[in-house]
Amino acid sequence: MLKRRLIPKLLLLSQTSGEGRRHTLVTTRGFSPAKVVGSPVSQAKIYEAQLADELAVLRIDPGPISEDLRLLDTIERLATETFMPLTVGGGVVFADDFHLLLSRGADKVAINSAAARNPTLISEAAARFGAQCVVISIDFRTSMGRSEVFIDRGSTPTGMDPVDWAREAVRRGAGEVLLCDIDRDGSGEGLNLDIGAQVADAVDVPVILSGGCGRAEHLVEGFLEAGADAVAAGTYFCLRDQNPLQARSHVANAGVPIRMGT
Amino acid sequence: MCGTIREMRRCTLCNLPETHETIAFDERGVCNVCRQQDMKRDAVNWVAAKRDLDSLIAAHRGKADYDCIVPFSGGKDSTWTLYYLIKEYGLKPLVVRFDHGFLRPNLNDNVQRTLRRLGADFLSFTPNWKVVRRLMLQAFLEKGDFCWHCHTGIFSYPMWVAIEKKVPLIFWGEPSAEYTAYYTYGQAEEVDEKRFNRYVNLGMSADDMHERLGADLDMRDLKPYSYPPAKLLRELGCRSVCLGSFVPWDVKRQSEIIERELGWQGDLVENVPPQYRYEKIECYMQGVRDYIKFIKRGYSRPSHLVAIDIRNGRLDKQQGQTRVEEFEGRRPPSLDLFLEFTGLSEEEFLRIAMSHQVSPYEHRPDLTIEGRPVPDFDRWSREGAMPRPEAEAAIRRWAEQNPGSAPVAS
Amino acid sequence: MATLATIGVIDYAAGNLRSLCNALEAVAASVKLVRTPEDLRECSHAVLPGVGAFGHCVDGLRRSGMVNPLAEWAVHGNRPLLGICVGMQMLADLGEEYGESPGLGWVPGRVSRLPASRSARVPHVGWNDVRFGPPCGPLSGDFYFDHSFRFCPAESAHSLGTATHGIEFCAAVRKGSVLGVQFHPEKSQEAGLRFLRWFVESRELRNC
Repeated sequence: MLKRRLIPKLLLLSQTSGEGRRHTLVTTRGFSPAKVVGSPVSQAKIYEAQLADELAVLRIDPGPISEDLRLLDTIERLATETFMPLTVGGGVVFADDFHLLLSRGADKVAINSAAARNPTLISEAAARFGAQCVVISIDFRTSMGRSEVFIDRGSTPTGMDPVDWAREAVRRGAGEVLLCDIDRDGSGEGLNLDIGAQVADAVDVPVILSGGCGRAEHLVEGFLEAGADAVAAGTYFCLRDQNPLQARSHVANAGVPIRMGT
Repeated sequence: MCGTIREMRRCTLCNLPETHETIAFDERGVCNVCRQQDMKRDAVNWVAAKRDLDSLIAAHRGKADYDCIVPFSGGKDSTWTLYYLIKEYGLKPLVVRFDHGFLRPNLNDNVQRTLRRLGADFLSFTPNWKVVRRLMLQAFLEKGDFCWHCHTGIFSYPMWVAIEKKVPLIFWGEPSAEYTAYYTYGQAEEVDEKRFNRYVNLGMSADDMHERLGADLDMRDLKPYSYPPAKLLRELGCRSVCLGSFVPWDVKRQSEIIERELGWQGDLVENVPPQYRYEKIECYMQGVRDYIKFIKRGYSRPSHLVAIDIRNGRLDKQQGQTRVEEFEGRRPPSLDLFLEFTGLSEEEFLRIAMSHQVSPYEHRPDLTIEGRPVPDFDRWSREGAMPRPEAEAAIRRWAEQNPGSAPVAS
Repeated sequence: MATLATIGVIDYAAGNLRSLCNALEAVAASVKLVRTPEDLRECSHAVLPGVGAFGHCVDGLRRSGMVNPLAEWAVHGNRPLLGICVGMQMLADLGEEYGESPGLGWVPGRVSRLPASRSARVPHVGWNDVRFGPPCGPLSGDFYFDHSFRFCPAESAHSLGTATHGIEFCAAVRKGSVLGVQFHPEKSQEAGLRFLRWFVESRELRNC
């Protein structure tokens, strides 16, 4: 049977220092860059050795991804040095960007702000590359009991409800949903199980929940209570004495079907 | 005994709790570490493994300045490994030690005795203490484990020596499958970069640590903690293996032999039952390490040692529990030294350690009892305390970036 | 004494070759990108990748001019060919993505959509266990899948392995020296490398 997945999130941010300009990995809090936690290729190799099920590589620099040559080189290096599935996103604007990223080694491409502004991007990408390559990435905030989708790295409100938008994006051809609660991001307080469950119930494609994991229980809750197919975590693996191998044991001990062997 | 350890799920056989790294329980509630011992006993072809060892050694004997490298601490495991390779095979090893900075006096006596009785060349490397001190604090903040420099140094430094001296064969001691499920006894565990990344480096390479320190450290200072590039090891034809992958590991029997044949002496160790005099004698920060583990996971070395005895039928669960309760979770006297080395107050120490707790354990510091010092406590060096401003700067930077966890420096 | 394996990866602009070449290099002596029949002649094995829509990939392979050379080399020449994901699906007679379109017809069967349900969501994404029949039984284990369509072989004898996602479906096919796998061995870490190593080293495959 199909197992549930644990997906480390690698957030890439360009930095300049005495070492020159390079990509570093950061954790975020409420989507603001909080802490530098390492270098992309090093962390990808580590996660692979720790048997992560796949990696989500999300660029948080502004501007179109197609113009970020350093990022494209980084993706190519990741694909060369690891044997694991890579989902790449952050500044994907055109369907041609899919070709660019897939040819550099990505397996799936996540689209967010561009899709919200221009939903035909979803159907175009799905038609050209297949739904299995298209991940709709949805970030949301909740205020006074109402949830709203935000784009542009959490800065621009859209007036859309995340459940409705997820349903619409899947209708247009997205093969997977990556959902993130902006306020819980980096908080360690746990996933948004309510919205997570609603989205999982609203669509027929796999749903990846993220934003807020701080304890192993939170991963289990995401699977058992929200019905997530996968949980993505950034801060959880970076700033605690934790790793995917420990996490998977904890999840398996709770009765969730997850890949155990090598 | 402190904390909520009674609420944790435990192995029905050895009593290890669910917070033990990689532990998984089967349908009868028996843990994978126990089952790995079954595998070791029943499923590994040790006769074939010994033949593989013979071939491996034959392929390397006499081909370089040394037949092999033996990374060495002077503890029971590396002493046994060295003893076995010299006595059983008559090898000419280069013994290589990475000095983590906390070697105990009795240990140094053991090392000298061992080397004089066996006869081998010995290379010891002590890294820059100011770098070590900084790494200890940073690793404690980042991962709740201050031993990053030690884990990475012990496994990286000998590899650089191998490359430099052109000695491709490296023998380590016990396979990790003895104690955790990062690898199983069914797998060939090479002591390589994958293993280094899987659990040795706590999820941080030297490059990552450099970034986490704000990239203001000379990268050369991190070389002893950096795993060599795969290309260099491939060109060397490196084979880095565990002796325990070829010969079944038996700590009790091995300790008795080295005591008898080499005059190896065990030692009392902070907050560990005295029956285990062979265990972890090489480091005077061991007590702090165990204490932090208890704060995070609700168990530590006594539980681990008792679990081994239970699996081997030397204790039952009730006897084991009694032994654990008498020693586990106490505040070690060496904590005073650790606080000086890292510039932390005890309150800061507790709050940082508790921020790394592994659920479902929740520590109760109010239940902590003071542990007893061991006889050589006063001989442990307290030299090299971190200046408080340096510690404060590290804590402040980490607290700013890590909301809801670390305390702000007072 | 085994001759050194040269694995030809068919480069017909079907997406991600990097990971595939990397994985093959980890298990084989050398890897070569194949764009022309001349390139193919230097190879002992060939791998046919595939990403995207079935029809799009088949058209791409036709346009590259490699269909007949591959048929000659692999099917008539009995040399090991491994189709991966859509590369496996292309081996069929027919595909049903966007209406019916013809495949290569090298392994009889058709490609149809995986039936979806709430408990078996489509696309089928993630790690699932594959049960192989002989001689690949020992290679059984969890592999990484990412697909919405699956191969229904016309003859059960051509099914090399199955997996279950709601229903049991064909995860691997084999007809003579021509193989196909629905999962991504180059993305399946140790299990995937073990499978690729078998593909590269199997004497039985080379003696078909």
